[in-house]
Amino acid sequence: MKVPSKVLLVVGSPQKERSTSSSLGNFLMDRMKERGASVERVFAYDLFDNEVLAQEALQKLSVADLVVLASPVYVDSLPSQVMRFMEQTYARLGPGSMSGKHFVGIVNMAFSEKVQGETAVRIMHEYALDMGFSWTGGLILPQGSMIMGRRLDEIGGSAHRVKGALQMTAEAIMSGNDTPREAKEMMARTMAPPWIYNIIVNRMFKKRAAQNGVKHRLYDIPYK
Amino acid sequence: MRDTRAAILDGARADDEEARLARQLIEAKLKESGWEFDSETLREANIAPCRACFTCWLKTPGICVNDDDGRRVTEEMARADLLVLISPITFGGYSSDLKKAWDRILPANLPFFKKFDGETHHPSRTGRPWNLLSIGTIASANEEREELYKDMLYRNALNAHSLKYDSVTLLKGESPPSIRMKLEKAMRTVEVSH
Repeated sequence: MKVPSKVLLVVGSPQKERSTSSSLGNFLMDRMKERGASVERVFAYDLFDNEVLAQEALQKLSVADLVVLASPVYVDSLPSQVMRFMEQTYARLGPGSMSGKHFVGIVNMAFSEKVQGETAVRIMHEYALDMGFSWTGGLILPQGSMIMGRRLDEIGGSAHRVKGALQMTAEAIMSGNDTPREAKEMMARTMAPPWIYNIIVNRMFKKRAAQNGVKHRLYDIPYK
Repeated sequence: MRDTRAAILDGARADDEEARLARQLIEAKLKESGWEFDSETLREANIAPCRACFTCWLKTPGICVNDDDGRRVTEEMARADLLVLISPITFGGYSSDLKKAWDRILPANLPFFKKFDGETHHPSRTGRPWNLLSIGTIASANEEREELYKDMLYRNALNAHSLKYDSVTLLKGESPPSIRMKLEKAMRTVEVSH
């Protein structure tokens, strides 16, 4: 593939700058910038609620050589607003309109099992095909709660492999290659043993509920 | 005791004749079989997309921060034994209209991470599983996408702790008898009828 000079990061999370999708996407963008790419970023969440933002994003899509979509997994697939982004860009730009451009998909999810992110990546792949993009590969990050929207540069130990996978991806793409298999495998490895991770996450939920004064109402069923 | 309550989430476009017929047939069969059900036309519903704030888990357990039609849909889902998901197959997934409602199932689950048969999932808030029936419409046959749509329903079924689930693909222009036959078979699988 051609080495990209203009890269567009599309962040799929409603948490925008504070999201793990941004943590991953920003780290990858920084590595690409170091290798000479110019980068732009848009947030899918409310993009098509504002026609000015929508037009700007469509313009950025049309000039980019590489589009990176970084998104969380919601209920086994992509969040509704990422689906809306896909529907809208397909309807407005048309099938095959991104011919000659490349596409990388990155998904992150709270659960530990890589398989739970695979349908989301496959949906991104199908979108890329319809739009005419060349699919450059998909990355799946399990246990996204370990990152929780923090800057990867500021996280040590547990995020070491995540950073390594993204670094490797940036190097490959900026050398004109696809996302390496090794990077995908590195990214998909769990940062903590799943049983320990589940204990940590469940404790965090209970602690936050206690801080909100609803520790004893967590199991409420407020339906008729 | 037989399950007897369903929620239909219709995320199809207004001009989707196959989806319209499918919904009609499903509603008729539910009535005939003595089920109660709620039925939502999602393109007309005011449902804010989930913003992953976790208020529905950690501040007002079971209730979304957005006071809109989505609260009603969450409650309908929470009460149901069977969820029916109708959508055009959109890049192999659900349309944004269906997905905005489907993402709002979050409050009807508990926040906790628990292993079920070797995979992590959230327990349902009511403690009951959901059976699932998904209907996907597609303009022309596409094996890859139809397979993906079915695989996604399988993943959904694991998350919903489903005992029974089925997924049906309908082609644009498919004949009503063919649609009826596919749906009758699927409704037997999810035990709406025998």
